[in-house]
Amino acid sequence: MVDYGVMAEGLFYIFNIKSLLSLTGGVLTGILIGSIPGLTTTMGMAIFVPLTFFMPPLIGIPFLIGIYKGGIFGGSIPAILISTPGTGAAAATVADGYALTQKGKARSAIQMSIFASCLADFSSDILVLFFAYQVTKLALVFGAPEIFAIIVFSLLVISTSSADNLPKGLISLTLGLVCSMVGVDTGGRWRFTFDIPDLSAGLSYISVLIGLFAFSVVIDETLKSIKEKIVVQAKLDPNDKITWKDIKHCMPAIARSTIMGSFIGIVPGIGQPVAAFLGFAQAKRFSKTPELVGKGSLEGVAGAEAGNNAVNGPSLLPLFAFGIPGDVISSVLLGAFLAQGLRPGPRLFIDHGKIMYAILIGMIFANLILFALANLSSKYIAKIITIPKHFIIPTVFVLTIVGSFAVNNSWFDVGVMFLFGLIGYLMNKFDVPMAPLVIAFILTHTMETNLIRSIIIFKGDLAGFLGRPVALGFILVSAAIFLFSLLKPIVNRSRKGKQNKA
Amino acid sequence: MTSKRKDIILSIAILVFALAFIICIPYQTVEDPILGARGYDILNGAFFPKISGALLLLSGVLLVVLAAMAKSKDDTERKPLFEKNEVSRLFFILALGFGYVKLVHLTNYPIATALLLGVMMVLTRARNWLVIIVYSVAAGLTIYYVFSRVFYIPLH
Repeated sequence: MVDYGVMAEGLFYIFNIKSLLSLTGGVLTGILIGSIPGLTTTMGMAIFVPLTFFMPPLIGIPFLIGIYKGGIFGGSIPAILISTPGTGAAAATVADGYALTQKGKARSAIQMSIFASCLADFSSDILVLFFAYQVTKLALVFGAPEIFAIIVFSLLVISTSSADNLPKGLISLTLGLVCSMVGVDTGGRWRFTFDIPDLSAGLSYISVLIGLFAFSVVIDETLKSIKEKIVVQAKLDPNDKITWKDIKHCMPAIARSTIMGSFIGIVPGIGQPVAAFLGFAQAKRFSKTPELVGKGSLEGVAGAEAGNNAVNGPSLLPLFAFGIPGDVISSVLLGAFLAQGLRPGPRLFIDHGKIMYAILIGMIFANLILFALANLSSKYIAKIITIPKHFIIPTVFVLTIVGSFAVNNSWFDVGVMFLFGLIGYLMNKFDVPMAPLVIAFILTHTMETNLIRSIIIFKGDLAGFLGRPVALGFILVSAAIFLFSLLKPIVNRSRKGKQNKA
Repeated sequence: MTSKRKDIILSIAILVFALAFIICIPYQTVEDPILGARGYDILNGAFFPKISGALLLLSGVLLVVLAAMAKSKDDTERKPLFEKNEVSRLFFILALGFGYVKLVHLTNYPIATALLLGVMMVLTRARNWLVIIVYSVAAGLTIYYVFSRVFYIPLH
């Protein structure tokens, strides 16, 4: 049962001016970052994570949550106004959003995006508030073999779902495994340190994150700016706005996308873009005018935006319950949680119930703040994307360096950040996804520790997994996912060959 | 460059890296004789690196096989992997970063930061010198103030 007393204490913890201001600042920062094409929510969070280390937990973490919520919504602004999704999650909004802008209805599209995003996010956060404790309690009965099997399952799902072809997902996953082995092994012995003292503590997690998600963007955007001047122009009619009739018309699409997005969020590795496209697809399928969806329909915007925002809250459940980040944004939050002494896992709500409920209630407040701020400023929001890149890119460059230095006061970490920035840039060039690398980097130590514990429990016999039905189930499902992903391109090719012959 | 050629280049790079990694394993991991004596060789520090090395090798082989099986697309996809001067510009950006770190040590944080911001603004096509100077100095000082005075991070 949820302890309502602890929940009420959590409400009092978060309901103070500093935490609310922090949430507001985070939401504004997130909208700004998300609305600039090229800058991602993950990048924004990665830059600001080191700052939160020096703040109390109920100021630092709400700030990051504000960035998360604001950033995912902010991504829809350039998608609607200039047909360029600010984040991957907003890609499904482009078709209808931009078509509405071309019809002079940009403000309606933005307002529908605000409404659908906030309502879906709010509903899914309520779900998390009441179920997070139960899920973490369920995790308490899991032992080392089950946790090992869940991690294997999560890594495979993430690597197979984030790439078009299996080998690229596996390459990213394995690079994450390899990078995390630098430092000390589970027995306390040095491993892959190459006699470099700075490597003895391993590669800094924050430097790896900032390098991959922020510095690689700085490189890419600088190279683009050198090549050609990027001119952004957005049109916005101040007299255009949505009506209650529009909201009523879009409510079924919002409700369906919210339910679907919430379930997608719980499964590690699928994330907002998939939920957004599924939300868009269901909006088209169930619409009374399906021929208009994709060509400038508010239903399409509502379906896509509700889908991607409903993922936000539930995607944190695997993190809270098992310490397994379901996506890269959760992996950034994991860094902030650990730095604040909040170790995600089965005991999180038992040991830090008040703070955790305060954070969950903060997530709900963030939606209300986002709704108010975005609605009040929807007239002016378009102007965000007109901030010239020559202010943003240099500032982000400096912040990536300070951010990676700040964690350990180490210039070596800055070098690691540069290296991973280059790796991230090359991974983008070769279409290799970054999510499996980051999540494998974070989880390898836990996975290795739990495998070792399992082997000790089974007295050296790996067949012991056969006697643990939950662990065995996850391993079998993982094997099935691997085989399916491996055979999918071959089956597709032979099917295409048959079609061509026919 | 076609995606097929891109995948083949990537797979070769991964295979070379995987081989180098596997060769390093015996030299960069420590075996535990106690674990070995108890029949728990599997628990040694080399066990996970061996699995990772094998997985990396497998991924590289899979990618090269799938790329070899794929049909080449038409010429519309034949853009070079790196455009003209892209590599030199890429290294210039990295050199700017390393140069900045060196400059922080040689001068001080606000001066080095203002210089980096100025150079980056010129690179990203800012053209008004007054704006470049005012923004570089103001942003450099603000970042310095926030990190060193508010968060007590020794930026030197």
